[in-house]
Amino acid sequence: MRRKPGTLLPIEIAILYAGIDLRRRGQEQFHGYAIAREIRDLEAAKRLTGHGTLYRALDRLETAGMLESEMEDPALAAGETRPRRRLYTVTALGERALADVPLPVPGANPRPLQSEGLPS
Amino acid sequence: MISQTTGPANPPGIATAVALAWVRIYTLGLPDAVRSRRIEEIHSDTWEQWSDQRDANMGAAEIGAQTLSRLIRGAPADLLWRTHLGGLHVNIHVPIDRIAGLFLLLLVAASTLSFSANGYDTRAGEGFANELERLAAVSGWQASSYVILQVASAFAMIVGGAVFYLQLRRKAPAMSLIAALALITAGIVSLVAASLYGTAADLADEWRAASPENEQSVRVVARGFLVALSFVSPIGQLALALGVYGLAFVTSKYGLVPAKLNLLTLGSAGCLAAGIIALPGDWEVPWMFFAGAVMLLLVWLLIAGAWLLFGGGESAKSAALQPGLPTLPGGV
Repeated sequence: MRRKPGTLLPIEIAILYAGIDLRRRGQEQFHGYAIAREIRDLEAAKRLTGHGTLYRALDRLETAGMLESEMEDPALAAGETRPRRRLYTVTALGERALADVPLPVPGANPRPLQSEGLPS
Repeated sequence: MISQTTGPANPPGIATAVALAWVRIYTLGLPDAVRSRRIEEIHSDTWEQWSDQRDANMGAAEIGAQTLSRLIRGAPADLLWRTHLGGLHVNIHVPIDRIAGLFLLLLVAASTLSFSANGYDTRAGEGFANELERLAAVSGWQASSYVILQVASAFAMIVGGAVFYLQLRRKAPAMSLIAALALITAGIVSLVAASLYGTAADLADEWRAASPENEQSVRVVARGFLVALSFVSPIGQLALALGVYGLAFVTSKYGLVPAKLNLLTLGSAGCLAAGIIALPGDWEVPWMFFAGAVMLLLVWLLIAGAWLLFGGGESAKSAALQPGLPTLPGGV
């Protein structure tokens, strides 16, 4: 079944929400695993989001213009002897889309989001 | 150029290797840029997870289990994502006649090897008792090899029949359907025959080791299996012969294999007919004809299979003539 244009799936809401939460805490950009961990913590879940679920949702959000991404500086990754990260940023469109979503996030058991100044 | 995921930055563990292998599999055939991006992301993700959880003093086994769990839970989304990007057809163009050729060669190889593995002994006498003795003399590995090769032959017949039907259904729908059904029937009968043979071989061993009071009952059951096998085998061979004759006719008519190869199938059909006519007489005469028919069929399968697999000048042409034909994943 096709969803209505403009509506967000729970995983997409969770990604945008977690991305904005990270930004609020001073982390402008995030990589895939960081957002999976953030979602797990925000939802007080036991498990990290599945690879396919996470990256498919990131792909959809980027295609829809709600996220932007870029590869990090290779020298930085080489200096830390780790693979290069793809770094995502929530766009203004993503923020507006999330602002239209009634909180709390479906299926989530978040920290007191509104009190922390997140979009309501 | 697809990114490499080997080197010092690879997190250890089988689960990571499985996750990286999985992403390489489901991204096969996608444009390099899309494929590289997904591989790099999963590579980075598994590394970050390993690094983060190791810092949290988590054991390697638990990290591996979580990685596998993420892989499995995300696999349906991976496949949906892959399908959304163009299904299994993107950038993969394997002419289906090459696949068909491959199955013909597999059939030849499995059939030929199974002849030497079935333990047939020209010195053995005729009759049920001798057949039971012969089977009891066949070693366990030999009987198992024969069954495996028979199953491989059956697989080649069933899949080969389906592939040929897909290839030829637009040009010769009725004939290709008949040939495919005959091949698939031969394959199913071969599976039944392999099962009967395997059971009969086990019973023969049991019969040899049986105590005098059990010997008769084992003998009766074994006889039942051997009688069934003696009915089933000719049906399978006849279905295979009809399937191959049909294929030979259609493939030569549409230029997939050289028309001269029809001499082989005509010779084989002639031998088969002569064998059937000679059946009422001494068994040796029809047996020679049937053996000749089988040999000629194998030669046809060998040449036609190699011709289709390695191109023969027709592969590209047939693929170009049938742009709507299905293509299969992989790098055959």
